[in-house]
Amino acid sequence: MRSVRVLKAVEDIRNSFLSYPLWLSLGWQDVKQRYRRSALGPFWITLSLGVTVVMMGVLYAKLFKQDIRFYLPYLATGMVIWSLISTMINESATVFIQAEGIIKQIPMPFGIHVLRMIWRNVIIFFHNMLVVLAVMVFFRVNPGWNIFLFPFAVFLIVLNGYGVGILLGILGTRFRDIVQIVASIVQILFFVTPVMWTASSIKNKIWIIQSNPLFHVFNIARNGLLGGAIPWHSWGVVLLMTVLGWGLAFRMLVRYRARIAYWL
Amino acid sequence: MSTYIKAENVCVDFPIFNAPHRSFKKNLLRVATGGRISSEAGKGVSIRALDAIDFEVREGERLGLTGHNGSGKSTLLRVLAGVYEPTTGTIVVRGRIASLLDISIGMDFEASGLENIYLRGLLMGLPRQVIRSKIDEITVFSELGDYIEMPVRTYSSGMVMRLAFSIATSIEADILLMDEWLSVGDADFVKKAEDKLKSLISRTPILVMASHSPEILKEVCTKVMRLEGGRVS
Repeated sequence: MRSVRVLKAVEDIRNSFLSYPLWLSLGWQDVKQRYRRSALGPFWITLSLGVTVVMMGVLYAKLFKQDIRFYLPYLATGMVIWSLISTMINESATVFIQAEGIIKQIPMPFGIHVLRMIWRNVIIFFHNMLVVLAVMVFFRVNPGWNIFLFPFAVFLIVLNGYGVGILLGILGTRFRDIVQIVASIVQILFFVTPVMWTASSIKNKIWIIQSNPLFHVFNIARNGLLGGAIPWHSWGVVLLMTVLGWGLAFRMLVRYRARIAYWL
Repeated sequence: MSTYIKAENVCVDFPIFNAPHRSFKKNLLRVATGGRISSEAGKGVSIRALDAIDFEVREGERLGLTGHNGSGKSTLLRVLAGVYEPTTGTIVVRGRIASLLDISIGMDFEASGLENIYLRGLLMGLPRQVIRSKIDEITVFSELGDYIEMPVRTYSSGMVMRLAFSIATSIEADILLMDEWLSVGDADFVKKAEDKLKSLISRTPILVMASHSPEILKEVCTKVMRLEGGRVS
């Protein structure tokens, strides 16, 4: 019986990726639906992030006594990556609950609902990237060859999103308190991760910061956009995290895949 | 390879996480409808929606399901659709399934009729080219005309149902699942829809339909299974 369940979980994951026409459309539809009948459409996301980054950048550069030419690009990249990661984590907990209508009518790989959620956040991410692009051009930030590492960093973030989506999705469906717990944890993560502040401003006890896996995610993504020495150890940590996350997600999927519909 | 359905000893138990454990008083006040509510020590409350169901449907057969509210008809249809994997027992379904359980599933009211045809088609697992080839047929049948380009929120409720019906019935499959006989639209459309549904059913090897109406069951089905409290009676 176990081997059947393993096989079904493998097929679920494989077929979810193969059903790309479906999740690409659904994810795109989600974004369109949110901004339908508004003149700017999804560029509202770009605009609101742009305003936030400029306002906060000017203020916090003063507060943290940082050079604005360094701090604004740093903050812009941080905010864009943060909004991708935090929304994905938050939406993971409700990913199957949101799809209840479909799940209870049409059987399809559960991964499709996760990929739909990821795709809609990737679309928003690309809209947000315009802010980063503008800031980088304005301050003449040259990432050098590191820019070629950036797509891989985003790919790893998204790949982690799939694992987290399955994992938190299943947990959130079974235990409805997970949604609130996750929301609180994400809020705390915002403050303990160098999104707004720089890790270099902390002189000692650096290991506390380094033990936060998100620190390394930001490290590799920012490095791709802002340049500098390649943080290979962070790449290692993120890769390890991806493997562990997928392993855990796979185990959950094997065990509880057939129960998800029952819990809805 | 012929189309068939074979269910052996199929049981479905729904866990109820927020239900209070059964007390003696509740034991006395037994309700007559619904599945059997049970609670095992340490396992929480669960409802046995289907209890040891055995049946077989072969090509050409039209199976009707009947029974009270909560007798397990819809749950059984969902088991056949593949939504619920049986808690115990096995079910073998050979053939492509089209589920007409909720024909307006996945409808986006801000999107146009056309976009909704694509969305619904993709949800039912059709490739884009196939959906494109069905658009004219769906538009004509639903009598929506130029409204097909308009957002669905501008439709009357009758128009929405006509669109949903036209999309759902344009899909060919080996096994058709239906919860109650579909009837939509005004007097003229009802007749047209009925003809379309009948011709779809006549082309489909297997039909499984739940209904409360003895007349419809008698007219459409070749055999009827009566469910009571999740059991075949």
